Amino acid sequence: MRVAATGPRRGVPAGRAEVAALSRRAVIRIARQPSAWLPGLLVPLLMTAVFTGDYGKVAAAIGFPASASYLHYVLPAALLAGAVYVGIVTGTEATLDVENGFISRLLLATIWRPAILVGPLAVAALQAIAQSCVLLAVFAAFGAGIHGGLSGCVVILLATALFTVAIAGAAIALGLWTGDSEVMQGLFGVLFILLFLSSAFFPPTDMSGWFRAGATHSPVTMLVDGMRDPVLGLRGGHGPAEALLVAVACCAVGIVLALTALRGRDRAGAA
Amino acid sequence: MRGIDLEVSEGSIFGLLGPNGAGKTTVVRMLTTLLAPSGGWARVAGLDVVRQASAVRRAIGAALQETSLDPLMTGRELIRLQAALHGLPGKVAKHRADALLEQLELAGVAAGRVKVYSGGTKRRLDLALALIHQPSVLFLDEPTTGIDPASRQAIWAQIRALSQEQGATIFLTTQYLEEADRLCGELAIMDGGVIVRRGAPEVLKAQVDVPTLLVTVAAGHRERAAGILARFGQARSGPRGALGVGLADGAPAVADVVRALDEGGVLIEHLHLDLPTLEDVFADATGRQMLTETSEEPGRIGADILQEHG
Repeated sequence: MRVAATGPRRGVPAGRAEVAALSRRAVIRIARQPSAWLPGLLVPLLMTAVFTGDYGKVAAAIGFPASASYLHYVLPAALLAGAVYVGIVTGTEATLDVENGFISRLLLATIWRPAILVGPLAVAALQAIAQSCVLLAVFAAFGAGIHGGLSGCVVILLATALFTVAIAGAAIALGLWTGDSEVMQGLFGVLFILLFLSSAFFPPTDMSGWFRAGATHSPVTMLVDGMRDPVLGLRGGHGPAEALLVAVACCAVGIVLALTALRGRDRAGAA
Repeated sequence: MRGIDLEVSEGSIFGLLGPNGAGKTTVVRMLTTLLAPSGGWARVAGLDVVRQASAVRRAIGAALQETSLDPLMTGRELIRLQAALHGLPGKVAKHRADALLEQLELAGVAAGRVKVYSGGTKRRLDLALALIHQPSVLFLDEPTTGIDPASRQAIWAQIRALSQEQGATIFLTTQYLEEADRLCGELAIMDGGVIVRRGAPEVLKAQVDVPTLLVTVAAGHRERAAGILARFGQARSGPRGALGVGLADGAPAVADVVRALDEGGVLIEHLHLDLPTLEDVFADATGRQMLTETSEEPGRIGADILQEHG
């Protein structure tokens, strides 16, 4: 076979169109699967309802201002639980692409390789922001508004979006490595345990033993405390800057993992 | 893979035939840059599949075995996505998508989600996606596996048209002997990771055996008929009292046989020509029968030439 190849070499400029096309696909898939977005709203709200009933008095115990409640306390946890769900869904979508061979279609195209990740990750971040806005509205309706105002909301949404990309990146990496969507269920459990092993639902001061030590030093605690700062309008153990720093670091790790896994899938590499 | 050595002519339809697990898909994945060869080299469209992988991808189209289609998208959405992935501008993409959907008889279902498509429709859509960027080399990995005979015929027609009208080089794998026989100008038979035979189907079959003519004659004419048939080749046993002869000069000798029997006053009741098949080629090369998931074609290709001759 001796036929000259045609077409330009593809790079980042062409990648914009590819990112747009793959983002469109991700949006279509989410919109057509209620299971891809509905639990991301319902699970945090149900968790909040349960925990608020059980631990409603915790706010008074840890010296919140009179205007704040446990609902305020648990708000960042609800947003991050929703972010975990979105991240897992994004990873599951990538795993399904491996299982049904769609990833081969993507790898066979002469696309800018990171576009395969950028599209779904960008949509995951936007989905998390949209989902968080709905959750914030619901919380506000029940009296848990953001004391930090608009800038506080921006910090919370930015941290949530970055955390979502971190989880989605790690989940995509796992999906590309294993090609097994059942692994996502395991990852979902692990991530929720990490959420519990932090200050997300209870103050570490009310914990004991190794659980307390783990929660105190967990980066998730730094993230949650920093997000909680603008919610409550009072300075906690960690501020918004630390939260964003942790979120950016997690995001970077997630993206590197996903890129590494993609490079592994793309064994022949783009010459 | 062990010692795979293939060369495919530009514009031809080449078939890689073999049972499940023979290594056909592995070959395709290597040639389409999806799998790095563990050794040796391969060039597709004159380009090295490892060192020039990106250029190879621009030159090829591939419809892979997994039918890698997104069930939640519509056919039209998928074809436009594929066009975007190959960098086609919007107007060009729309024009080509419309043409392909029409050509592959998908226009009527293109607005529906892929998950409701039949197996044959999915295969045709997969083919359309592989063709959107007008590749010069097309890889089809078991393009008709698991679909109904009517859809299979339709896909065969499309593959022939692609080769004849657009001059595309087509490399297909199949486990169906009939598919390889009907479509491919040349084929290689693969088993256990090695090529066991290679050549044009007719040549391969001729190398294995000559056609067998089975003749049933009227009572009392048997001895005379056997004497005449012996002039055309070696005698062979036939079922239900039929006389058999291996035609040394091939199938065209049938007319001469009939003429000789007629001239000899033999009353022929039934004639059947039994041709060697690729199954025979496979059995000859490997010492066993080729088992496929669904075997719709008969073990031998035969033709009843005459039922009654008075």
